[in-house]
Amino acid sequence: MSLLRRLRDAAGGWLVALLVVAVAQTALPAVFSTDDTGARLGGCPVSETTLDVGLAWAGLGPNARSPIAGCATAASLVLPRLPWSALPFLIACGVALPGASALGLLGAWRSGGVVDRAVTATVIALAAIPGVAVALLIQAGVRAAGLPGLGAGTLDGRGWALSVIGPSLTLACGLLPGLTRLARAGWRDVLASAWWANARAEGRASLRLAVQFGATAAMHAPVQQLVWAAPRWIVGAAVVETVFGWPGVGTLLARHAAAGDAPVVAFGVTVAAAFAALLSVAVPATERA
Amino acid sequence: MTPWRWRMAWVTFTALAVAAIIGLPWTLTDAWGRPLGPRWLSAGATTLTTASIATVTAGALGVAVAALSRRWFGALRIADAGLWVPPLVVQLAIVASAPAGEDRTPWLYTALAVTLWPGIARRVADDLARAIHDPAHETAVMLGLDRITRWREHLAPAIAPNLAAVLGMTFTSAMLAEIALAFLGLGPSPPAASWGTLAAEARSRGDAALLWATLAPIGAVSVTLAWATDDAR
Repeated sequence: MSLLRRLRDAAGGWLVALLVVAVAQTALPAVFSTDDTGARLGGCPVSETTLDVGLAWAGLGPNARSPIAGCATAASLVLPRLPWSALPFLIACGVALPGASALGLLGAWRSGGVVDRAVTATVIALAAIPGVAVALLIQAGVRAAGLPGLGAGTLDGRGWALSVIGPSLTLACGLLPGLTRLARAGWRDVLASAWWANARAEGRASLRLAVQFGATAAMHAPVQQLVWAAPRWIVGAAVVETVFGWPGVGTLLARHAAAGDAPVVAFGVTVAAAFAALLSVAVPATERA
Repeated sequence: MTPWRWRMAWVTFTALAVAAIIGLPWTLTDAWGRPLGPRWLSAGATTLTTASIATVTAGALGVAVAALSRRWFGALRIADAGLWVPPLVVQLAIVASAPAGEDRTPWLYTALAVTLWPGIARRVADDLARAIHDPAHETAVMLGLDRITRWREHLAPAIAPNLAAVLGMTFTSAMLAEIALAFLGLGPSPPAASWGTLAAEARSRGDAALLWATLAPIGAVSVTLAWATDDAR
């Protein structure tokens, strides 16, 4: 795919994200808002409140704040927290990738067997359990192990290094199901390849050989998936960060969303969309190199 | 035992386990001394209704975009772009736009549907492309059958099985997203409550028994739904 087409797609992602927020900010209140008597304003073109919000967004009207000043404020809140959100994600990748590779190989080794079914059922269950429950379970586990279960109050000194364990493990549990399924498919391809068939014919096929030479081919898709999913897990881990009190972007966005401060959340969407757009351009370029 | 007997034994065991876990909320009372069970059921109804409405809306939107993509491929590009943006952040942005003091439920439906349709559109578009190039459909085109008949006789039956499985998975995703939003304090406006609201309440009270009596049945329901959907797939 040409770089120009990549750039066009990236710009499309950014524009759609902005469009979603703009629609939410301006058009939806007109549909869902009610007037003083409780009647829906859906029939009216735009309510006065909605017009105010729209004008304020555009930097016009009596309640306007300059879009540049608004962006600067939101940026000063969101951007310093990005490294804090990236840290647990990177640690989670380090845990989830080997785990997914091992589980995928277990499943693919005797495809359709009891172990394969057990692995599949486990990862489906792990994907279906609400993130809140997984986070709280791991929080109880790390507390039982004598580690801090909350991050916000312990970020000074050596506290943060221990506090990051809980969020990282929770994120790893979230990443594991998807990665395991991809790894299993990758390992099945490796084990069905001519290379593996030759090794079997020569009596050299062993688990050690598969791990030593097949892992790169089998884990290509999971690694790619991790890169694509990075914005989702770095900017959008609000539940995990809230449960562990981790001072990341997700906690910030959730708090501002609950307070109805949409511009900060909108900036979060923009950051996530820009991040995704950057990856969509950078990753193929890296692969070609 | 024959495979179907294994399957029946497994289904019976799962049903009994789920029933036992769902019985948990009846063993505890909430902050006001009332049995937790009825409140858990009512919250479940809210969560499942929200997830159902969001799934149906997202399904309709996804199928419409997939059909539109046959004429204008740019529609799928919009779906791709939608898949890139973290769904929870977009949901937060939409729900945060609800005017203060108003019922957030319609905003929740919108937020979930807006983030769930791209996945459906992508999968339906794939199936549709395959069905359109199927020899039976190409013969129908050559015979001059009208568009409605071709949809009824060829395209709809071709996309229906996968669509059903995708909608099942989307329903589970919508349920999990609704629970997450409600846990973050962005669920349906009080006095309505959803499962996420109950979990947040139990956590803020610091009552571990109440928390797990709320969460364990939710986990049982969602895992059962996911396994059933995967079987269908």
